[in-house]
Formats: sequence, structure tokens, C-alpha cells
Amino acid sequence: MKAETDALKKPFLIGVLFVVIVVVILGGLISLFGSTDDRPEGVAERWLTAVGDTTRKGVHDDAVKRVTAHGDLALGEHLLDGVKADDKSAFTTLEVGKGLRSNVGTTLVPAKVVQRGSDKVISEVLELTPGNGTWRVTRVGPGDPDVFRVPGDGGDVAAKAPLGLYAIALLIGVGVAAAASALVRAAGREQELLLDA
Amino acid sequence: MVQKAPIAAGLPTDFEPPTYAAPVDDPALERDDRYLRLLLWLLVSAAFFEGYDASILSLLLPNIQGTFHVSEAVLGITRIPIELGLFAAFFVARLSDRVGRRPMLLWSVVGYTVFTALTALSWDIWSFAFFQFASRIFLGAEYAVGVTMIVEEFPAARRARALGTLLTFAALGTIVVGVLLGLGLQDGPLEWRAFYLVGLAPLLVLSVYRRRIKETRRFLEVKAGRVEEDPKPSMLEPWRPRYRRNLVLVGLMHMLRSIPLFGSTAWWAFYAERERGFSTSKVAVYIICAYGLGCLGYYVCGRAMERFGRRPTAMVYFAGGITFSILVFQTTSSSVQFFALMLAVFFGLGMGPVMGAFATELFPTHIRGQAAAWTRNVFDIAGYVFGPALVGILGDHTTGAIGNIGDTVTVLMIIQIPALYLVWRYMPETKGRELEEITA
Repeated sequence: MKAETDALKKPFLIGVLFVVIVVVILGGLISLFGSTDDRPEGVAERWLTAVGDTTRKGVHDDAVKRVTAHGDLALGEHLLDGVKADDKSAFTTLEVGKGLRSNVGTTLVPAKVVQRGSDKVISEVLELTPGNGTWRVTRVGPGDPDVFRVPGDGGDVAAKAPLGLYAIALLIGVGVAAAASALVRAAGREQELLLDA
Repeated sequence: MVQKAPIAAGLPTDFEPPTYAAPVDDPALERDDRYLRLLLWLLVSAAFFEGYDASILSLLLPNIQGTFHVSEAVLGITRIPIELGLFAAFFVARLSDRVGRRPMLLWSVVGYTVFTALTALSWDIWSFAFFQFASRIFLGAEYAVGVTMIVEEFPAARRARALGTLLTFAALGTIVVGVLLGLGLQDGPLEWRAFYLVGLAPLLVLSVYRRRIKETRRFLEVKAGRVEEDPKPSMLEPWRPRYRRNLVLVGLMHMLRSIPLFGSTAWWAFYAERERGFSTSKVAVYIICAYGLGCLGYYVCGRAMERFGRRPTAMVYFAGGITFSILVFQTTSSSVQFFALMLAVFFGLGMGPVMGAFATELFPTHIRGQAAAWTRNVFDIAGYVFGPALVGILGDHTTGAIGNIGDTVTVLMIIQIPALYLVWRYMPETKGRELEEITA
């Protein structure tokens, strides 16, 4: 029995190596399909988070740096009026919806924040302008509530998987089922031979 | 007759035959009811904190992201080293076969407490990941040694109930995080860090009861030479040709289930807050209700697999889990979300007993522990590691290929369909059959 188990060591190591290679290839494929350009909605979300962090104890300077990386701090100052942050982030809720692309290259992103302390709900539209592979917030102001809505108010989410992706996922599922099935059968082949003998 | 002592190799289940029943003639080795009750209450803390610790990370993800200013992709990637701690725990737990259950339990509590407290002091996402990785090692070891102590100290008739109590407390850990969230602990001066300081409680309990915990009878008798230690089977034993097919089958099923399952549980709170506009208190209410009622899924699953069989129960639970999880991550209605979440927990997590039966019943007694260890510590943990990472990378709002968490989880749920197929096509029905008959 021990000899039989010892004989498994080499194939086992090959198997481990194979699994590592598969994981690396999958990782490469995923990063290949990742977006190379930032989404304006994601940048808007990060910018608003940084604006909210300017009231947090100990991270003010870092938060200001993160705000200015994607826009002017003055653009977000009115969002902090009336906040009773008590050394915490200025917003208790932060939500961003799907942006509307304009034909001059800018994107208008709906956003909603709830102020800490006052519980005041503020819905605004952020205008983002592209540049250097990312986006900058260039204006923050009110928008038409029937057009600019966050998902919590019935608007669309920032990005949506296309229907074709679900079809591809189903095909991948079929492929995984076939591969798993083949693996199970291959793993049982020696057992069948033992039984036949 | 010389009896055999079990080894700490993994989670035993109700389906395993009694491992040991020693007549006790040495008064020093007697364990009265009072001691067993005390032991159980001390050990449930391990199970409780396993559920508690995992839930902090899931339910407070937006807060942790806010503190460390990282993207969803980085949050997902940091889950890889964190969850690998549970994999390493398996090897640490095996040390208890050499040094003893009691010292291993005490040191794992100390280790868990120290690293959990250090988590509260993390200065960036990578220090956070390191402290969580280390605390997971000790937590996993504490849980495994706790289970071994119950198996070794409790009489066979009470063992299943004691193990059931242990599992229930893991679910209770999640509910308590929900309650603390609802009470606004994260709004205090320490924010999310306060949740990790609650992890200091086991050390306080231990400092009071440390002297009352005894080494297990089995371990003492093995050391005294009165009981022969089980020969430790090689780690590779379940890969021998005669068992390989079942191990591959059961392992693949666990992995295909755990990748989407842990991807969804790790990200639901984040999804609810950032993509559906839920407040933290609403998340807390949903979690308390979903886990409170969803726990019934464990009970119903246990009854259904005895009444209708393992295969039909597993197929219904898989189908229910996939359907309601997709509904949770697609619906825009809060009320539909509420009921769908309860049913997703009911089916998705509630199928634990039937998965446990598959992982153990198909293997003979002498390798059952090793096979269960491979299933839990390799195949299942692959889901803990890769599920949350995949959702974070693909669903990153700024750079992810899909760009939102809800759709990413939905796409991943499709991976569970092959698991359903494997049950239907290959899994033998073991209902009503003796273990010897199944593994012959």
C-alpha cells in the first residue's frame, strides 16, 4: 500500500503544477479582458468618497490629495455644508448611477449622498471630462431627477453585463461540465480496470 | 483489546461511526457532565468566531474600503492571502497530535486573539491582509482542535448534538455581526475596528477557565501507551486509484459550489450599499432575518436527505441556491430582495449537511478524515480564495471587465450548473445504505 501511495507523489506534483499553470493562464485572460480605461462612473464614486473623507480624523491631507487627483476640491465643498461628521466620513450613503455620454466627449454621472449628522439627501450630477486615460470632475450641480437617477431610485447601474456575456457564460458552464465529467471518468478508469481484472 | 485513537484530520460528521468508547477505570480520566458542558461552551466560541470573523469582512467591506482607499479589485485580491490562512490551519491543527489538544487549543486562542487585535490596528490594506491571514490560521486550528476534543471527550450518543451545537454557533456569529451593525458599532470612534476588538473576548474567557480545561482522555491514554495510536494515513491516500474517482467527483462539486457561493456572500453587503442604495441599518436587518430564518435550511436539508435521498435533496438545493442568488443580485425591488436573500441563504448555505454526507460517506473509515480534509481544505477553500477575488476583479466599478458586482455574481452563479449536472450524472445514492456497503 505504501509503495502505491509513494508512486503517486510524482503525478501529484505534476497535477499541482498543472493547476498552478491553469490559474496563471486564467489570471492573464481576466486581466486581458479588464478595462484599460477608467470608467467615469468609477472615478466619480472614488472622487465623492475622497470628498467625504476630508472630514475624517487623521486622513484629511491624504483625502485632499485624492480629491485633487480627479478634480477641484472647491467643486465638492457644498456637499459638506451642514455635515456633522464628528471626525468621521461626511457621507453615510454614497451611490452612483449610469452616466450619460454627451457628444462633446463629457459624461454626466448621477450621484446621491446622505450627509452624516443631518441625514440630508443630496442628489447631484457630476460632469466628467476625459484626459490622460482617466477622467476629471469638472462640474457638480443639480440635474433633471427624471433623467439622472441612481439605481436605488430606479436608475440604471453604472455598468451592465451585455446579454451576450450570459450566453458566453452558459457556454463556459457547458464546457466546465464536459471537462468535469471527463475528469471524473478519467479518474475512475483505473478503478474500472481493477474491477475488470 | 487495544483501542484506536482518532487523529486531528478534519471535520467528522454524524455519518462517521463512533471512533472510540473507552471504559474509564482511572478516576483522573473521568469526565462528568458538568465538565463536558463547560468544555462545549468553551469550544463553541471557536465556532462562533469563525462565523463572526468571516462576516465582519463581508458586511463591513464598504467601510474597510473607505478606510484604506482601495479599489474593488484590490479588495478582492487581498482575500486570496487572507483565506489561504484556513488552508495553512489544517497543517497547524495536525500539530495537536504531537503536542496535545489542550496546549494547541490554548495557544490557538492566544494566537487568534493577538492577530485579531492587531487587525484593529492595521495601517493599510496589506497589513490588514497579513493580520487576517495569521488570525485565520489560529482560528481554523482552534476550530479543528475543538471538533477533535468533542469527538474524543463526548460519548457517541451525545457527539452529534455537540457537533450540531458547534455549527449553529457559526451561523450565530454572522447574526451577531448583523446586530452590532444595526446598533451602529461602526459609527463609534473606532469605526469597523471595534468589531475586531470584540475578538478579544475568547482570551478573557480563557484566562478565567484555562486551568479547568483538561487534556483529552484519548490523548493521555495514547501517551500512556494504553491506547494504540491510529497509523496516520498518507495525505495522498485518497488519491489511490480505487478512491480517486469519488474524490475528484466530490472535490469538483465542492469547488464549483464554493466559488460562486463565497463570491456572493463576501460581496452582498457591498452590492446592497453601493449598487442598490441600502443604508447600513437596512443591510443589518436583512442579514439578521436572512440568516435567522435561512438557518432552517440546515435542518430541512438534514431531514430531506434522510427522507428523499441525498441526490434529489442536493439537486433541489443547488437549483434553489442558483435561482434565488441570481434573483438577489438582479432584482431592484427591496421586498423581493428580502425574501430572495432568505431563500438564497436557506438553499445556498443550508445544503451543508448533504455536501458533508457526500464528502464522507463515499470513503472507507480509515481514509474518511483525509478525504474530508482534501475536500474542505483544498477544494472548498479554493472557493473561499478565488470566489471573492474574481468578483472583485471583474466587478471593479472603475476597471473591471464587467464593472458591477451584481452582474459578476450572476455570471459566476452559472458555474454551479455543472455541479448540478455532476450530482445527477455521477453521484451514487447512499440513503439507507450502511457505510461498509457503500465503500465496499
